[in-house]
Amino acid sequence: MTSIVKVSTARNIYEQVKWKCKAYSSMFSTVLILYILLTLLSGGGSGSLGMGRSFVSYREQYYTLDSLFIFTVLTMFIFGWLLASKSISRDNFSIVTTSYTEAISSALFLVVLCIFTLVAAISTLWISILVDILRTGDLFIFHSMEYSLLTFISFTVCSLLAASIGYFIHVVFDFSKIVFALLCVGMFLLIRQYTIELWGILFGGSAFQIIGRSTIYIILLWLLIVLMRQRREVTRT
Amino acid sequence: MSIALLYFFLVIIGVTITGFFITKIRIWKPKRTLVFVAVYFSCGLLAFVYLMFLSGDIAKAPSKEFLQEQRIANEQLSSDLKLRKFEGLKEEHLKFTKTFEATAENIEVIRNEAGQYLPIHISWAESGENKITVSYYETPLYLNGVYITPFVEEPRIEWNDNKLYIIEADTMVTVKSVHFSSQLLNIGFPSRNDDPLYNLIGQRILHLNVPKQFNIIDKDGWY
Repeated sequence: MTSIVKVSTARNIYEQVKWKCKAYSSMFSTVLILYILLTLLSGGGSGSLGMGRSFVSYREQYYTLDSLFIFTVLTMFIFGWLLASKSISRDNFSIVTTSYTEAISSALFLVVLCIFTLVAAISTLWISILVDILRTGDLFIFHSMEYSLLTFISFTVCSLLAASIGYFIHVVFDFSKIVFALLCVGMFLLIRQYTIELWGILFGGSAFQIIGRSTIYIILLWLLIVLMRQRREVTRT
Repeated sequence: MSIALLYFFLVIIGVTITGFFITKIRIWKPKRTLVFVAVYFSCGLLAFVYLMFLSGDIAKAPSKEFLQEQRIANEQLSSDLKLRKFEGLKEEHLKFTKTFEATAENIEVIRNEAGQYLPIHISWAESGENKITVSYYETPLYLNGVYITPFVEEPRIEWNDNKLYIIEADTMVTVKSVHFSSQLLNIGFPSRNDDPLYNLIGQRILHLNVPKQFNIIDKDGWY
């Protein structure tokens, strides 16, 4: 692609990310609306545990990011698909665009979106706790923030992986309907075979393994996306 | 309809709204989103600052080091009591003391169903008097890393017809907690069944000071 104005690739990518943030602004508000709806229905709690020890019957309702995380992953998957499906109609082609810059800018936009969802999830958690306290007057116990950074990174990386998978599947759909059908069948069989062991094989057991492997999968997916986008560009030309 | 199914439908509705926003009608402009986001995040920040620094509605859970200290101190107390070393019972843990007048040699301890866990430790006194002194001690109690002493009711001790009645209520602890660890991703969420620090730490002790000429008969203690 040619342009009479010489601008750096980094500048192009920056402009494209900025454009996408505006063009897909409804994704940000949808995340918030979804969180509000979920929090209202679940009361903000993620789970509870009960036990009996000696003379004590103990019940604890805990608030974590876990319940929001599940829905974030699902939402990010759909957003990834939507981002790819709307790229032709919504992207700003007045900015110098190649398949490479488009893929990078889409990936960076999804990074922005995932960081946004993390901040939104934390905000939602605190708001739901405040609402609960104002409503019931119960005392909360705050456990240490020792693992918070690791949780936040995992939350973001896993959301990004889900978004990347969604984006990738649509790119495959654009690339070849036969490959897409095979991919769908493969995913269906994988989900049918889903076990905790399979999860362990794919992502590992510890947080560091989950983060590391997810990052590798994300990089691989985006490399494939760039490769397949090259083909689409040739087809269009 | 299960709550999970309801959530699933909500996600579908949410995504439909997104599709509606993105594809057809631009009723929601980026500027409005920015304002919405700014207001929402500000609410989150204010809630955090209020709860953590101003309100006092959130109590910090004790640290693992502190729980470990408590556990060691309680184990020491248990072994001291087994050896009838009652110096470990501190004045600060004494909740109440009652004195009763025994009329016969055999004193029976009668418990209600909930009172079967309260252990009795007896020190035998060289005394010609018939007075039985009952003291209730309670060290700080922690379960699952949570300070539960405020939930625990003191037992009622009554005396009638040379019988010592221990009447206790069941202790129900219901708490809410905030974690920034993740159970789902296996990050730092305590595996509480295995960790002794999350077991019951602390003791409730009924100490009887009994003249040697009496016998204590306690059939129901489960401790």
